[in-house]
Amino acid sequence: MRCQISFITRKSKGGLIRRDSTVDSDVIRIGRSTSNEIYLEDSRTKLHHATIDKRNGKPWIEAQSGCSISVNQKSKSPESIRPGDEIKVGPYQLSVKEGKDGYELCIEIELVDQQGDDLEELTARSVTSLSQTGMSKRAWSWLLFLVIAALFIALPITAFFKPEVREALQDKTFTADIAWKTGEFATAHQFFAKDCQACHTEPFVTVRDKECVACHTGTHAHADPEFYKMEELTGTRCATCHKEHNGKKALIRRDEGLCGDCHKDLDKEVQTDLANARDFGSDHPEFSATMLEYKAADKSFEKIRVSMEKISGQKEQSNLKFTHEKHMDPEGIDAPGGNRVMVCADCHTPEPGGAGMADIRMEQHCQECHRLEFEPDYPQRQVPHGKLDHVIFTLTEYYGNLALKGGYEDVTAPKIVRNRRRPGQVLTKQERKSAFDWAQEKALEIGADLFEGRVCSTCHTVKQTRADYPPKWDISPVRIADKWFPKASFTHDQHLTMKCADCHDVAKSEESSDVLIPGIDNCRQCHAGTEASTNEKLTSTCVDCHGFHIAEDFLLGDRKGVILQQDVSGTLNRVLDK
Amino acid sequence: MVLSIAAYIWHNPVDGPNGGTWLGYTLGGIGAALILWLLWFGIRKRRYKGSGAPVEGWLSAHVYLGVSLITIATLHAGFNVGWNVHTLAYALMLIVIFSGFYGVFAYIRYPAMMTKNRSSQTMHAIMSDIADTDRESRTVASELSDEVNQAILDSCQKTKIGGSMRQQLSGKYRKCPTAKACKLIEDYAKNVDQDNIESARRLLALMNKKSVLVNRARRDVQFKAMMDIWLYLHVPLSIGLLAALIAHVISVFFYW
Repeated sequence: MRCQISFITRKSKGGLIRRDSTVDSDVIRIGRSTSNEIYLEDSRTKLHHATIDKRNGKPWIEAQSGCSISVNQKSKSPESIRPGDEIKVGPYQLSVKEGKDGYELCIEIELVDQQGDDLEELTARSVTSLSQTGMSKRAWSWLLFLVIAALFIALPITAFFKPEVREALQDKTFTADIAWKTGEFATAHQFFAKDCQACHTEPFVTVRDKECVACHTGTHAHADPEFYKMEELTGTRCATCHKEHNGKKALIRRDEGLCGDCHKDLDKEVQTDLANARDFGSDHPEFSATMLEYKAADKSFEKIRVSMEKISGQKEQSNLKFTHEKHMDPEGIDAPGGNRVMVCADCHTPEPGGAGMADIRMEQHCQECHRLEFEPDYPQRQVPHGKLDHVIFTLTEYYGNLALKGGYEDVTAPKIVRNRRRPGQVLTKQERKSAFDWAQEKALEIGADLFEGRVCSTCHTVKQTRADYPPKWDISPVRIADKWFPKASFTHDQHLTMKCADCHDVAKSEESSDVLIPGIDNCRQCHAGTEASTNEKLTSTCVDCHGFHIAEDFLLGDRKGVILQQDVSGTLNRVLDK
Repeated sequence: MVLSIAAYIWHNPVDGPNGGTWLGYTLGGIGAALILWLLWFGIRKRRYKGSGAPVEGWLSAHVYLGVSLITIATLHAGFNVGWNVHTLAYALMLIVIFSGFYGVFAYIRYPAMMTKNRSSQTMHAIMSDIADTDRESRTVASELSDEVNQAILDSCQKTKIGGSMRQQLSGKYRKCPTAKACKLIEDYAKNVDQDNIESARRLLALMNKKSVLVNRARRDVQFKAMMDIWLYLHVPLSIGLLAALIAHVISVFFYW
């Protein structure tokens, strides 16, 4: 097969360069190897890429194993070829033409797929900076900004102003403004903790007292704002001291500044009887005790305040005759069961809760020894500890019974009383009157003995108010101070590790009028103010003893007089609805 | 910073240290002002004709004030954290600052390594060398077997520098055509016939040269990526922080 092979090269400025050669062979091999009849130098062709030979008198082209060619843009191999066919071998195009001048076939070969510029292609393939990877700082920035602004600014504010949005978003775990929460709620406020607007009712306005008072209706104010015209008193909100979002334990201020800020120079601010105070250890006035003053005229007691500085000249006016010295004799006292050494707790026990001491009662604490007997022959019988009329009545009953029964051996008694009764004897009216008259007189006689002599006057002040028949007596009422320091909250319960005598020196107290309450120096043996750490004493701030909400006549809501009832009930109802 | 620590230790608010005390507000104000100023650096550094201190001075201040912000913001918060927008802002701030620390580290470490790696060549020169090697190796390979030729062709046509974020950062390229071709030619050269031994050796030398160049270029890309990657955290998160900061300030005063 004689073929004309023409290599065509196109010039950059147009025109063709044609390089002809002749191949005369039965088999025409095409490929990169120089041993091929048609040598294609581009490395993108195989060493031996394809073969043209004659089959049944016609030229055929066949690709070598592992190589690909296309004939007229169709991948076919082997395939007969004829003039006009376009064959693609690697980057070359082989155009089959009619053979002339004794050539059976003419094949024009052109490198149609030029090898690109290596540098350009390498650069195009390579992504050499992060910014080329499609990551965009700007896009991420916008996305983050918008997501955060939408979730944490737009959403909560919209929900605040649009109740329908708020309700749509609100469920048990999520609210639009939940991310605004700055900290845990106090335990008592947990039940409306998800409703921020229970307290935060107006934007950019601090929580007002009326929101607190909506629930805390019975809380007392600190002092009368009309009397104490101080900015600190009238201008301070509940939330100034009671700061929410500080954990489950509600905030109760315990620092000295709570009181000391005003009370250190209170006398300069307002006209007051209160002494200045700042620190319990170093700047606190001596205590003042509340004592009872007996008004004999109307048999009443009046509370008086006495500074402990002047207490030494004071006598407690309880109208009770009592001596601690005898009762607390370390050798013991004669008691029904024999000698007994008494201890304080025999009479003084804390009341339930431990805030104060329980009442001392005659029947419970005294009567075991101080029996109210009146008849030596019948010692188990006692008069009641109560009103004198009741005592006389009991005595009259007792002796009336004896008189009617008869056989009472008393030489001063009339016969009818002394005589024994015969079986079935019926007393005449006169005899009964005579017996009863004796009983009444006997009752008064014994009564006088009890009141003025051997029983009642041991402890009480008894005075006969009428000597004529029937005589009358009067016992001065007995009161002992309930709370000596009512403006402080002392509890015995927390001082049980102490001995009673550490504070109350009763061993040498002969009179019940002795004041056995200690002053501030006694407390300062153990307690100091905030400087306690330096002198190894117990740190005790103002609120350890004193309350803040103590104005008896003023509730919190009254303080500023601005709480509108409708506002209060509105907020309260909303809170309770949750 | 020292002043704020001293104030924090001295200050003893009744409700414990938190952002709502006078010191809390003060430190919060300083912190917010610092954040805004630090954000302004992103704008300032683009203004090449900016007046006042040079950008280097701004960068130095940016770093030192960024560091001080950790103390000020932590003391502002009084060490309180929770699942809320306030802690979100704090966390974003910390990530931004610590990514900045990495930035400082990267800017100290990588430029020297890049200079050393490039052997006083530019990136363009390295790429150009690779292309030259490609051309030469293709010519040599065309005389050799189809297998070798194809491997070289693949190495020329498919080898890339850089690539995805992961590839840039790791500098590792699975199925790298150049590495594959190197290995093939190494094996080929061992068993090549006498006629082609010269070509095979030449090709092996060329491919090894290319391999060195490709690795050098890839390391350069890797170092640059290591220098740049933190900014993809630093910048978007600082803008996120701006939003969280606005939300923080609005929320505490909205619900005062």
